[in-house]
This record gives sequence, C-alpha cells and structure tokens, in this order.
Amino acid sequence: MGSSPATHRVVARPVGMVVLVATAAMVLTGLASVGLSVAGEHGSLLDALPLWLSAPLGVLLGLFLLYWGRDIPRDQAIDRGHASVAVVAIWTLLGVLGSLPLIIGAGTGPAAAFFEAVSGFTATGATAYGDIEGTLSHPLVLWRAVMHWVGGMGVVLLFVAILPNVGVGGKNMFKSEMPSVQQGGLRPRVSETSGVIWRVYVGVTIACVLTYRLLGMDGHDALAHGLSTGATGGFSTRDASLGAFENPALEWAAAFFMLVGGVNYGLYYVVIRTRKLRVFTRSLEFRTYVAIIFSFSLILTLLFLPLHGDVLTALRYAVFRVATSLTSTGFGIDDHAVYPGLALALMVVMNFVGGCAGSTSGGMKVARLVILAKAAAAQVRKSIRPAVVQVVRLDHRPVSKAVLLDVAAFFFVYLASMVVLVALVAGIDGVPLPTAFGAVLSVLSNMGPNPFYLGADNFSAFSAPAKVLLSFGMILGRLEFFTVLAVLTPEVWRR
Amino acid sequence: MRVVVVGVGRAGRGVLATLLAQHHLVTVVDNDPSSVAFVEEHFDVGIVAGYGANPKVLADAGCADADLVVALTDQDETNLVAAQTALSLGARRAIARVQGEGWADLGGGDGIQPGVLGVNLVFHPRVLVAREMARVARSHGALEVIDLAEDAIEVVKLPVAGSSRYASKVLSRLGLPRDMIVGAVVRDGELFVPGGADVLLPGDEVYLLGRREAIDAVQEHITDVAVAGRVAIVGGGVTGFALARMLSGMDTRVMLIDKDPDVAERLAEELPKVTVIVGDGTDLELMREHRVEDCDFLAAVTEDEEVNLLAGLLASKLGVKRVATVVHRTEFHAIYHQIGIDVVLSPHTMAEEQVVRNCRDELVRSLTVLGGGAAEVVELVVGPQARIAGKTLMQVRFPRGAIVCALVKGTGVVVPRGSDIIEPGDTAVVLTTPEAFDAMAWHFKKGLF
Repeated sequence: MGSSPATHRVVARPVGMVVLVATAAMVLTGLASVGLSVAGEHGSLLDALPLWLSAPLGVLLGLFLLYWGRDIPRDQAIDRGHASVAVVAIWTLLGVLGSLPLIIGAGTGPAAAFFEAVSGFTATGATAYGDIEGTLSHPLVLWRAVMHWVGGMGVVLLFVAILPNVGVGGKNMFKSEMPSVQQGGLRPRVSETSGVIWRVYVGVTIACVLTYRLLGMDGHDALAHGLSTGATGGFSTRDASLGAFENPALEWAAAFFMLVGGVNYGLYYVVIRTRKLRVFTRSLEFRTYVAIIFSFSLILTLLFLPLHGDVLTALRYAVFRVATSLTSTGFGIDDHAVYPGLALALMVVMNFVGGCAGSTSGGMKVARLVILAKAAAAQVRKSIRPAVVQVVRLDHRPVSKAVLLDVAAFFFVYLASMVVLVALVAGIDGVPLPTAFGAVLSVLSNMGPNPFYLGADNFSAFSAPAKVLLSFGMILGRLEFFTVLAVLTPEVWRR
Repeated sequence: MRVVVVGVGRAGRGVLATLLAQHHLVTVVDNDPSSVAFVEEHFDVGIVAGYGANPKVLADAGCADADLVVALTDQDETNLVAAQTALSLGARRAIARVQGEGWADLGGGDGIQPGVLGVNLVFHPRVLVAREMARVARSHGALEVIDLAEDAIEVVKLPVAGSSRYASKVLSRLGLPRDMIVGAVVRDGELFVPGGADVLLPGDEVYLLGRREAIDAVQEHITDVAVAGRVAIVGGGVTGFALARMLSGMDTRVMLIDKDPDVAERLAEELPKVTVIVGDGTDLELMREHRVEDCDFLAAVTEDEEVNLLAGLLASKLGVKRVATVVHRTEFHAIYHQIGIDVVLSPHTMAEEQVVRNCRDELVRSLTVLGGGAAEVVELVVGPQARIAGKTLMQVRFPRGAIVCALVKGTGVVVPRGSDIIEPGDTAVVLTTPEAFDAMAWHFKKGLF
C-alpha cells in the first residue's frame, strides 16, 4: 500500500471540471447577450467583450487544475475530507472566475468584484454596486443573474447531473455542498436525484422567465430576473429592484416563484417519482413552511394597512416581503425605512429561519427549526417527568440522537459565526453595531438586501477587507458551515 | 439496469462495487444501521433501511420496476422470501443466496439451481467454492477454473512453468489446438490480451479459454503439475463435505480432518470412501502422523480465517504440492498469494460472480471477471442489424484488448478463427479489458445504415 496522495492533488480534477462547467456558463451568457443584442435589446455587440476575454482565463484555470491532478488515478476515492476541500475550493474559485468580467468590463476593484461574484454564486444577492444601471453593461448584468442561477441549486449538483457516474466522490461532494437534515424512507442515488432536481429547477426557471415576459418585461429583464428568481438570489437589473417596474402582477408572480424555490426540491423529486401530491402535505417541514407564509403574511398585512390604505395593496406588499425574506431572495419593491419596527423585526426573524432544507434558499432552514423546537419541548417534558422516554419525531420517523446533536451544533455554529463576524466587521470598518449585524445576517443567511446597513441597499461603503470577509461569510452560509469549518481542521490536510 | 440488493454484508459490498463499476442503478435494502451507514458513506446507491422480506420495504426500494433483485442477507429463509416477494411485486428476475447445511445438496450437489420455490436462481456459494476447488485439484495446476456458456466452454488460469515447452516461443507458432485460445496473460501483476506475436515467459499466468478437452490437452505442456491423486481437506463444514464428496467420486484419495468428533462421525457415515480424521488441522504432529506431506493438494476450508491460513502455510512447509484456502475477507486475497498460498477462493466472490452473470441487458451479459477486474468475459447476442453480423472476424477491426473466445451457434459452440462468419442469432463470448469494452461493444450495436 503506497501513501495516499496529497489532498490538494486529489481534488484538482473535480475542481477543474467544475471550473470548466462554470466557464461554459460564461460562454453561454456571452452567446445569449449576442442574441439579445441582435434582437435589439442590448446596446452593442462589443458589450459582451469582457465575457469573451474572461472565458479563456477560465478555460486556462480549469485545464491547469486538470493538469495538476493528472497523476491521480481515475478510481482514487474522494472521501468526505477531500470533498470538503473540493467544494470550498470550488466556491472560492468560482468567486474569482465570476469577478473577472466585472473587473475587465466595469473597472471594479478586485475585492468588490469578488464580493459581487460570490454574492452571485451563493445566490445571496447583496451587491457592491451603488449604481447598477450606470456602471454595468447589459451582458454583465446578465452574467450576475447567470451566476445566481448556476450557484442557486448548487454547482456541484449541476456537475453531478451532467456527468453521471461520478460515483461516491460526487456523492460526497454533493453532501458537502448541500447538507441534508434528515432523510427517511428511500434515500435515493445522488446521480439519479441530481438529474431530476435539475430538470425541475430548469422547468421552474423557464416558467418564471416566460411569466415575466408575458407580464411585460423585455427579454433581457425577464431572463435576468427569471434566473435570479429561480435561484432565489436577488440580483436585479435595476437599482430599485423589482419595484422599478411598478407592475403589481409582476410582483405577485415573483412572490409565487420565490416561494416555489423555497420548497425542498427533494419533495418535488418524490412527487415526480411517486406521482402522489400527498407527499407535500405529509411533510411537516412543508406544512410549517406554509404556516409561516400564511401567518407572517397576515401579520404584515395588518401592519402595512395604515401605510398603503387598501387591503389588497397591503396584502401584496406583505406577501412579497414574506417571500423575499423567508426564501432569502432579496428583491425589493419599496424602501424599508417606512415600515414600523415590528415589521422589520419579523423580516429579520424570517431571515434567520430561511426556506426548507434542500431548497435554493438560505438561513437556518425550517426543518432544523422544527427539530430544535421539538427537542426543546421534549427536554421541557423530561424536566417534569424524567422517567418518561422522550422521542423526537419528524414525519412519523424518530429523529436519531446523531441528527439532534448535528442540528444543535449547527445552531451553535450559526450563532457563533454571527457573533465573530459582527465583531470583525464592526472592528475593521468601525461601523455601528446594527449595521454590522445587518450585513452579517444578510451574508450568512444568503439574504442580500435587508433592512439594516448604512441606509442604502448595497455594500459599496464597506472597505475591501470587510468585503472579502463578508464574501467568505456568504460561502460559509451557503455551504451551511460544517464543510467550510472542516477544511480548517488539520485532519483534512494531514494524511 | 435497475438492481435491488437485499442485504449488504461482506458479499453484498463486493457485489455493490462490481455493479456500480458496470453503471447499473442500484438500490440497497438492509436492516442493520451500521451496514446502512457504511453503504451510505462508500457508494452512490439508493438506500432503504428495513427488513428485507417485508413487502412494503421492498416496494419502497422500487422492486416493482427492478430488472434484478439479489437477496444476500445472512438468513436463507429471508433471502428466499425476499426474492419471492420481489417477484410478486413485479421484479423481472430475482436470485437468492443460501448458506446453510440443509441446502448443501442444492442442484444435485452443484450448489446452484434455477426455479427453487419460484425464485429464478438459488445458489450456495460455499458449495460453488467446493466445486471450483474440485476442478482445480483435478487439473494440472490450474489456479482458477470457470465454466461458461452452460459448461460448454471453460476458462482456466495456469502458471507457466520454467520447464514448459511453450515458454519463450511466439504464440502463433505453438500449434495450439483449434478449440482453444490464450485469452489473457498476467505478467508482473499486469493483465494484457496477447496477440499472435507475443511470447509466454516462465512465471506468467495465462488464461486459456475454449473447450474443456482442448484445454485439458495443453495443460500439462504449460505447467509441471500433475493431477492431484491424494487430497487432504481441513474442515468438515458445507464446503469440506461437498468437496470431499465430489473428489471421492473422481477416484481421488481423500482425507478429511475435522476437530469435532460428532461432525467427523457423521461425515464418515455419509462419505464411505473418505478417510475422516478427528483433530486440529493446524496440529503439526497430527499432520505428520497422517502423512499429509504426501498429499498433492490440501484444501483448508473451515469457517475460521486463521485456521485456514495456518493450515495452508503448514501444509506448504510440509511439502504439499498445491495449497488452496477459503478466505472470507476478500481484501486478504492478494496477501494470501504473496505468502505462498496457491489458490485462494472466497464464497463472497462466488456470490458476486452469480450476481454479475445474472445482470442481463439487451445486448451484453457479463459472465465473469478476471484478474480482479483487469478483464471481463462477456456474452453478446448478435442481432440481425449488428455491425458485425454476416462478417468474418478478419473483416472487423476489433480493438486491441478484446478477443472473441467462442461463438455459441444453434449447432453448438465453436472457438472461431479469422475466417469464421459471425451470423445473426449467434452469441459471442468475448474477453475484453475495460478500456477496450466500448470499442468492442460498438461492433455489436445496430449500424447506422
């Protein structure tokens, strides 16, 4: 038995392949821009030049990585440790790759461009640009939306879906990118689910783009917003976000598609396999998700009523706010400043919660919340009658001690990361605590704009070091903490 | 192909690795949390945790549209019921493993029987081990003997002796019999498919494929080993019993050692021609006393890994010409070879082979894997529109690394020459390396015109 090869060499090939996949997306964005330009919607053909200049760099990077890992045998096992390194490397390198067109095309500083690209791939939607319409050409705006879409469902999932037979290495990478909370019944093959999930994702996105187009957006806006909505990202083509279109029907449609994206895609998979809609109602996570949507919409409607006058308008604003906050999308239709403190507090609560596990949204995930709440209740009952055996169940299946511990540890790590990052951001930039808190909550929950920082809906005022720090905050939140933290442990590297 | 594997113990895990390497879609059913966790961590397969014979669990695993269901739990009855249940749910084919002594006479002692209780195939890996050991003992030093195409042809692995008259000569000038070919050569641990210009060297191991009579005729020219006339067997379990029975029917003198007096008593009653000895197979005094060193072949086939290894090493030191052992942990295979055990067989690899053989797809059916996956023997049906149909082998540019070993025609099995025409309806038995597989299979697919 020889000694096992170094970790960074083992992961070079899969990382290189994913970089090539992302570069292909860049090329497709360029082609789409050319198409839209020919159709008369984009300014000039030359606008797509930054994409054409960046793509060869992406290809070079990808090929270099493949070359670097050339000595590793094809059947080298990619274990969990390798997978963590691979996935963190992928998300960091995608940030670099995604920033290239912005640096070349808009003269953006590297830190701001990296922030923007990471915000894109992690579907956060926080922007470093104060003036999007004035700074970015149409192809670059489209590229931001494409980054959302590629990262929204998971770039590793895309990789596994288009390259079947990646085997257990692909499965491990997939698990590192999208940790699941608990699975019962059939735990399906990753190479099979990934294909189905991507098809659903593509279907939802196409439906969304077409709906936007039918409701009056032009091709460019519909495509960019559709990709952004499907990924529950939040990048818009306008500084005033969706509010710029002043179209109530559009806002209803956006809210609907955001909420669709916040559902566990694993449920869609099971529904497609079993052809039973009951699957939805049987899932406690889904029922809780719907309950949160209804109750918070109701409360917000009541709170918004004095501001908007009629019930329907208040309801529209309320549902939109719930959708964008709960699924951590980050589209806006009006200014936060006008809302009462209670409404803002509820939005922050929804930021924390996030959508369902296995969805495109960020935050802590409804499933974890449900498990934590049930575990807490069980603990309370146990304190009264210690002899009674307490079992925490989810969808009629007992939640194992290992899962409970995992969820509890997740909760701790989430809060601890928040405290550390708030302190660092406040320390580096000397901003007020609420601003630092708002920014950190925004990146950790992959929310994007939220009602806190610096008055404006963007991160342009933060310093370069703070932007890089916040970028890693987004990756931390997107990969749900453990994967990123695992890479920091010596065991992953020393073998 | 969709395959459901019920029970993932040692054999199950080996089966999983092989199935996934062949790109089948696999779902696993198992009751044991640690097995489930292991599979979850190491394979990309679907997993259902639950009792393997429960209809609901099997339905969850997708048995209704499974092409093959394999039952490999530790309980024979569970396996049979699981296979029956799967079939009743709509699975196209179901096979089950049995291990108990009560099933030792399965298939008339062959260890394999189709159609038991409605299950497509039931196999007893321990008896299959005995069968292969008997073949090996009765051969001129074969390391493996595998039957293909309903026993019409066989694959034999032989070491090339320094004194062999075939050594160091060009293959095409050896004048080998018409009905066999040298399919593959293992040299310094690497397997390759030889061409006519290649040379066999002493120390090589060769895979011969073809009709049994033809292979029997050349065996003694390749090795310097004689057919075993005296055989010692350590362990009177299912394998030991089956092996003793098979060999004693082939005019071989068999000595069977078991440490349990009651078992030995019963074996002696059932096997009149066999000398049954009560004692420990690792006891040097006992071995000397009964002149084990005069044996040509010793088979250590107990359930205990250490006993088998020790008995094998001891026999080898005493001067027994060939030593075979059963290994239960398949990862030890290579190590056993290194320390001088000639033949190492495992019931788990037997089970694996049965599963692989039962994986039918429209075109290809895998028969066996050689050299730990370095080559594979597959069976391909020649369809009327296949590119290769109606052509001779000379007309087809077959990739290097693949070779047609036999054609099963309506009239019988032939080992083809370059001038034989491959007709629609024939079944070709092909030995191929994994690299050559796709290029080889291309010839059997429907042409574009």
